[in-house]
Amino acid sequence: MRATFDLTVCSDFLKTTADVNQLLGLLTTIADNLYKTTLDLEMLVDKQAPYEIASALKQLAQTHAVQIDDKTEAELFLRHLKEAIVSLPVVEVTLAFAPKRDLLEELSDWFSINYRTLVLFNIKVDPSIIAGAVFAVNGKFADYSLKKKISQMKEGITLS
Amino acid sequence: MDLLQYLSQSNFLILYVSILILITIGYLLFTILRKEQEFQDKEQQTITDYKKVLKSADAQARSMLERAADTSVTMMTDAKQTNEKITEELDRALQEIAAKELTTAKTLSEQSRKSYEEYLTTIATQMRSEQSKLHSLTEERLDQIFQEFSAALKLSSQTIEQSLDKRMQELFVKTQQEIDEYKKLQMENVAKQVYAMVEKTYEKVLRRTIPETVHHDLILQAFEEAKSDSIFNL
Repeated sequence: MRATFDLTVCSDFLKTTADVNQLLGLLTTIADNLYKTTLDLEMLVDKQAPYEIASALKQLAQTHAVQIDDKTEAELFLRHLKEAIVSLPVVEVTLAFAPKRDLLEELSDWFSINYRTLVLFNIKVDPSIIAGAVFAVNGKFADYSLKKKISQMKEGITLS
Repeated sequence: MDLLQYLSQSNFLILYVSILILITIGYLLFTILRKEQEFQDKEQQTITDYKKVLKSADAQARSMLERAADTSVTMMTDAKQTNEKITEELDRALQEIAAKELTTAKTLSEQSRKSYEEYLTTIATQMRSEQSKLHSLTEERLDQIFQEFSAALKLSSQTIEQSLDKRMQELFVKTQQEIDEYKKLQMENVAKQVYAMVEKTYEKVLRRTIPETVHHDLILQAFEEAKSDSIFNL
């Protein structure tokens, strides 16, 4: 069940590591409440999660044929879902300003188009880079900021 | 009968033996008593003799002590007289010795004074003679030394002058090099400062003036460049 999790249905609300933390908290709450009430998984999700997230979770449960009235199976589903979310690739992006939702969606879409996968952004803000972006992925560091470009220009002038 | 006879004879024998034993014992007792009496008499005689000896010794000792006392008194009187005599003789002898020593000391002192005066006179004469010699020698030697020193100084001045010229040239070259290096360093520092100022100005101006759309474009451009550089190996 864990290997076949397709989390693209979560792409609308799962873009940053902050979103992941929020979703993991929600899933933990749902899992905790599974045995405390007589409600089944679908009803609990509807009750605890926002509509957008609830729809995605129910769709995932349906896709993976989870018996929503079987609490043990529901608990297992939630645990595997959490593990799948935690194992999503993370790209650390440093920007000159705090991005709006539109920009995050645009960047997420860019990844979906170019790499056909859901990626989480760990956004950091550093105004000193002026513009552009700095990336840190799997131990690699790449600076594509305007500050770096200006610095390169300055070095070119100095050398000449 | 025989038995009765035998018994009467036996009693007689016993009686005879008993009498013999009694006589023997009596004789022994008499002998012991006589020995004891002799011993006591001898002891009494010894004590008497001892007392006599002690008495005689005491008398002799008293006599000796009296003689010793008389002798000591006599000796003390003699010693006192002798002592007084010795003191007088010693004083007289010491006075004589002192008089002799004084005379000798005066004689020796006079002789020493004369000898010392003579010695001083001799030394003064010698010194005057040596001084005269030394004076003439010193003048000659000084002239020679001055001449040698002048010659050496002249030579040395020329050498020093040449050395100084060379040293000055070296210093001039070195100083010129240091000045050039310093100029270069200062120019580099100025350039760095200017570039830093330009950079800061750029940053401040651009940060305020770049529109949001341009920011978006630059970010997307960064993503594209990162993709081209294979930064995202997902």
